[in-house]
Amino acid sequence: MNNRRQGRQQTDYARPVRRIVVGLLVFALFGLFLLWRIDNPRVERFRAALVDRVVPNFEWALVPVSAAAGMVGDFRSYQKIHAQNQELRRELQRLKSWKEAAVQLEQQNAKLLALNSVRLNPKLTSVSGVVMADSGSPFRQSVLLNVGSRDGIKDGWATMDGIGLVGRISGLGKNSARVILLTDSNSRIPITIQPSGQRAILMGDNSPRPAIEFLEKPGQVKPGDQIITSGDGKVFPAGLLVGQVTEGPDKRLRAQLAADYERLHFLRVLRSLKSRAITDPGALMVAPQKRLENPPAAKTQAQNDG
Amino acid sequence: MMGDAAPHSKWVYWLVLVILSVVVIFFQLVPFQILPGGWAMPDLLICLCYAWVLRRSDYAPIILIGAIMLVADMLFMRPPGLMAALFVLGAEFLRARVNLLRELPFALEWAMVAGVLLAILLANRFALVLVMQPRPAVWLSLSQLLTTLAAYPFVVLFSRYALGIRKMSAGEVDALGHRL
Repeated sequence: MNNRRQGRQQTDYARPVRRIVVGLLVFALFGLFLLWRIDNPRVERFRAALVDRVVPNFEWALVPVSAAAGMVGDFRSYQKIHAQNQELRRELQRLKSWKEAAVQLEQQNAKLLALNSVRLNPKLTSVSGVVMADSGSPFRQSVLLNVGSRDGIKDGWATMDGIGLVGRISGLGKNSARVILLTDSNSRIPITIQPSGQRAILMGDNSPRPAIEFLEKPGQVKPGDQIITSGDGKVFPAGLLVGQVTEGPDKRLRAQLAADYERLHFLRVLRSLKSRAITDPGALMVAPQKRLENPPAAKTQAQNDG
Repeated sequence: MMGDAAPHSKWVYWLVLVILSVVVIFFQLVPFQILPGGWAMPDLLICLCYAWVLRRSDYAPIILIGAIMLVADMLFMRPPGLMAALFVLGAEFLRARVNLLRELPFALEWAMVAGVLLAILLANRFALVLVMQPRPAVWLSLSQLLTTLAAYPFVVLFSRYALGIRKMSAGEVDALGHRL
């Protein structure tokens, strides 16, 4: 009886205390969200450090589990071998034009060169990493590599598989680096479409084939054209193979990516020497320019004074 | 695992909740499918938390739910804190209605969870509009809501039969005489 009375007294105290605790918790969480909005680079660095502390601890389990899942997937694809065979036959029919064949050979060539680790451009050396984890969310398309700042990786570097561009590094820890894939809805890559030489932006939209936007003369571009990075803005290396132009069901031009997104296992991170880090919110990433002798702001100040 | 065991069993269930969350987060991080699909996988973490809050809210303390959801926000590249805060508010809303739902059939509980999750989805979009951040695709969010609701009964069954977490009937007390 006594025991029960004590219990009731406790709950009488417990209710307001509980309200305060819940209020503080919600306040702190919303505060963190606002802080993230205001000072994004700092919170994202904290996130990368947290991911770096947590996820590599599970690498011993993550890699075998994903390898086993890959084996199950391969086994299923053997079961579907007849359907696949038919599909391949149809595809072969479609690939019979000269130009298509040429693109295929070029991709093969790029792959062989990569296998021989021939350096097309001496500035582009690479670090290889294994895919540890993905974003874990259907809304974000990214993978986590097991190489990080310890291996000299920098934010903004391009990442490729054997053939084509996969994404760029964004979010760096000591032992891990996050690659934002071209399919992510935040991914924007400047591209050139060959042979017409049209410039455009490849915009990821959470679909398997990113959209091609800001094309000046869409009439000069047709499905099957090759897409490479243009290097506009000097934040991304130029001349990397991205894929081919295709037309989506909604008549929008989209990119069929050359990289094999079904089997991303080993990725190469290309060292680019002039990559620049985002340090504060709101600053623009512009191409390196010659420093002006008299900055315009100082000039107007001087005029006002005079 | 009995529901009315010694008071220290609460700690055991807190530990079980943490371990289950780690397992769910782990399997979501395994890169099974890297190409974006048309459908979103269910959010099992929130199913687990809400099923426990509606059955034994002392086994799923609000601080623990907030911490788990914040870690999930961080690891799954969501805006940190936003979903965690909304999930905490949703959990408090449900917790305040445990007495109401105690005698009602499961379908009504399911409907209430659906309402709470839909409200969270809308509040999330509203908050992202307010701070001028990109929203996730509508169809993808809705498909995740549907798969999460489809998974909810299974999480409830798992909690009931594998972990012995069931609804307390009215007037039941724990070993210290607290009302449940």
